[in-house]
Amino acid sequence: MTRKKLVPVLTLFIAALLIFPVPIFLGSPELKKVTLTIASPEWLPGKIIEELSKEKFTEYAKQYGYDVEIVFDYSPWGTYYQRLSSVFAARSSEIDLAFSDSQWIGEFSEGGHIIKLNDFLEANPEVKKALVEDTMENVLLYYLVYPRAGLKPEDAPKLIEEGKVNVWGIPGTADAALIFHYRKDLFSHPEERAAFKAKYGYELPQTYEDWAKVDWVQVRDFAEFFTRKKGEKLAGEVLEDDFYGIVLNNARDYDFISCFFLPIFWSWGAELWNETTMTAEGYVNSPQAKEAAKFYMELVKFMPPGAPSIDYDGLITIFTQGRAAMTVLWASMSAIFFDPKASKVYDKVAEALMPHHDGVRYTTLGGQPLVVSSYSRNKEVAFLYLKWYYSDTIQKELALKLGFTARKSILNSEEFLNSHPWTRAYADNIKYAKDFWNIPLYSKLLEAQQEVLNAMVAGQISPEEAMDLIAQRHEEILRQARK
Amino acid sequence: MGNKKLFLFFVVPAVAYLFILNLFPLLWALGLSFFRYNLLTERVPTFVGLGNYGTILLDPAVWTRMQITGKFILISIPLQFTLGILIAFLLYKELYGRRLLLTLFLIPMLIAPVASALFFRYLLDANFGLVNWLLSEFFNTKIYWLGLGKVPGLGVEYALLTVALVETWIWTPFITLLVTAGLSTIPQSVIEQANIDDISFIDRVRYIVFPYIKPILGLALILRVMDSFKTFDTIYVLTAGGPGISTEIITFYIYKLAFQGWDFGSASALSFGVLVIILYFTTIFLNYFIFRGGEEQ
Repeated sequence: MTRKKLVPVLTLFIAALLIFPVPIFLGSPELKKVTLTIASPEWLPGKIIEELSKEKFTEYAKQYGYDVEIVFDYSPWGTYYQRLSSVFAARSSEIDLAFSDSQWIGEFSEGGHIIKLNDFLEANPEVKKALVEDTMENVLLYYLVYPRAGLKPEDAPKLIEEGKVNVWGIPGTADAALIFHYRKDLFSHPEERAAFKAKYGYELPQTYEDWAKVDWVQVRDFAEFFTRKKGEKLAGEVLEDDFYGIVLNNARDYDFISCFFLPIFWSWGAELWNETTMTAEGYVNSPQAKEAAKFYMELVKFMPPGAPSIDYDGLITIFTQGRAAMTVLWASMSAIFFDPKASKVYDKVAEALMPHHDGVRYTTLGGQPLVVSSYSRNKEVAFLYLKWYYSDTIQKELALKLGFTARKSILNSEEFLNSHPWTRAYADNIKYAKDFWNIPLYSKLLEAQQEVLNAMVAGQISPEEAMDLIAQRHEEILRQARK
Repeated sequence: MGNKKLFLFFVVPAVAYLFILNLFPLLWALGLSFFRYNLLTERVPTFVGLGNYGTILLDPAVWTRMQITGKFILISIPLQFTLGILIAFLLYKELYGRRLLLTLFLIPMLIAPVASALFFRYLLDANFGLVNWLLSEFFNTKIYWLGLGKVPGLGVEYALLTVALVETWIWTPFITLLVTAGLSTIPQSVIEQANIDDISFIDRVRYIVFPYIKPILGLALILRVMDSFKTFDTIYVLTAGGPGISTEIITFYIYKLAFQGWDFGSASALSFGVLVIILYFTTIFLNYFIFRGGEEQ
């Protein structure tokens, strides 16, 4: 090499040394390569979390000496439980973290498949503080604590603070409440309003505040009123197809019908069981429970045909095609209603609080805690992920993208409330969210309930028989737990 | 290599394969059926003797599923055989494009049952399905194919009939294929003699065709009955066993016991119960269609 050529080469080399730290050239300090596998249901929130994790957690982990590759292990909702429980049953290390449904916590913790996080919380006071001071109490209790018999949501922060309960996860996807949706164009149409008042003697609700006062019994009236046949008029236009008052998810798969039935069931003052004595008889078939079931069947009359087979796909299709006046759906799935490409009624949908009955209001708790697998070979990085995931900045960023959160400070912020069409209703609904059993026999209890409720909607058995049958089946199952 | 060594060289791998992949899991499952064992929560299995067998025998839920399985088989198998034989007879004649037709008829069998079931689920959807749209446009009626309404004249629910029809769509080509193969074994001389003697169609079927295709029909029946007991994908996708339990056949129930309730003991015991039933039917069919059929010929 001539001197003339050597000078620019040397200059470039020195410049490179100044720009890049020497250790990079020397290949140190070494970042430990880790592949972190996170099990998730296959849905939009999972994809959003995956994207953010790949973008930000990988950088965050480098500060701690890890070169992390994030892999999301997706399964469809209908088979997600089978996927996750099979991995745990096989004691497989293929998954490091999992978004687990809250009801699975008992089964997974008793089987030793997930790690208790009490020590992690002690070692990471900022996470503990965020949980205790800034997380919805019902989410805390239902997502994280097992056993929880006899505990009330309002006691959860103190108990976690004092380390008196076992904590098994952190709030993962806090899609924590079913939200009521309705067609605002129909409810505010002057002719429809006048016709409704003439028939039922009171006004259709119009504003968010009006809806907050609505009783489920009135929802039945609305459903009856708006159910029309092809050729009849609706909001001044002749219908080209039959139109239905309400559409709910009544399918037998997983927990579908239970989630939609339980807000009514609980609002009627019924309970699934006595959690302390582990008895179902007299609870799930109480007079209130039977009345609630009878009422649910009243709503079924105004649902589209084939009601027992209507699942999430069916519900979304019927509502987005403009074939029903009211529905109920999770915040995580609501976005499709407002998508002009997918919904014919994107500009006609509004949300409301779940209706109450005689002042009692409940919605079903949804969402998943994030848990660490006992068989993970990357526990340190998994804990690091939890710490990153529940930090204020990441939670805020996720909440604004997802449209749901369990963090109180975010729920109350204008930025969140204005971020999506459903966020206000979500923030108001979450207070009323309630979960069902989370004991190891959960899947058997659920299966029996799903089977019977679906048969009830199909008209195979009466509401009273259905609730008695659920009580009988649940008693048989719970007998095992009481032994 | 001596004869004995050669024998061992060929036989040992086959026996080892059979033992590792078939016999060992079968024996393991048999052992499991005497234990109470929840794979997810109980680390140590508890020996319960014949307890699991007693429980399933006395469990009305099991007998209800058995009845549903019986109904399902009684609808789907005759349909598959009737259509399969008819199509095979039609294709037996020298027609233009016969081979192409036969290939086209085989397509449903080549599609994964999950895909077929999904395809029918959308076609038969109560609100947006093409079938109901056509019924509504031309006959001003709709049928809730996956509902609990009773089929006029049959007394079974539409949901069960629909599952059986979808299974029929998938498996009829299999019967067609086998019967076509059976028909091709009838010697040309026998057919020519029948033509000369001007034997009626019914007598031809009874005395010429049936004896030739009887063993193959027996084989088809054994395979289809065994497979029908194991039907899973179609039901899982179409109805998930519902509405209620109206389409929950015994295999679906075993799946639920094992992979939703994690009750491997009861699931194994019930699986062996089903195995005994299948073996019983297989023996009857073998005796009637194949062994006795062989003697007659």
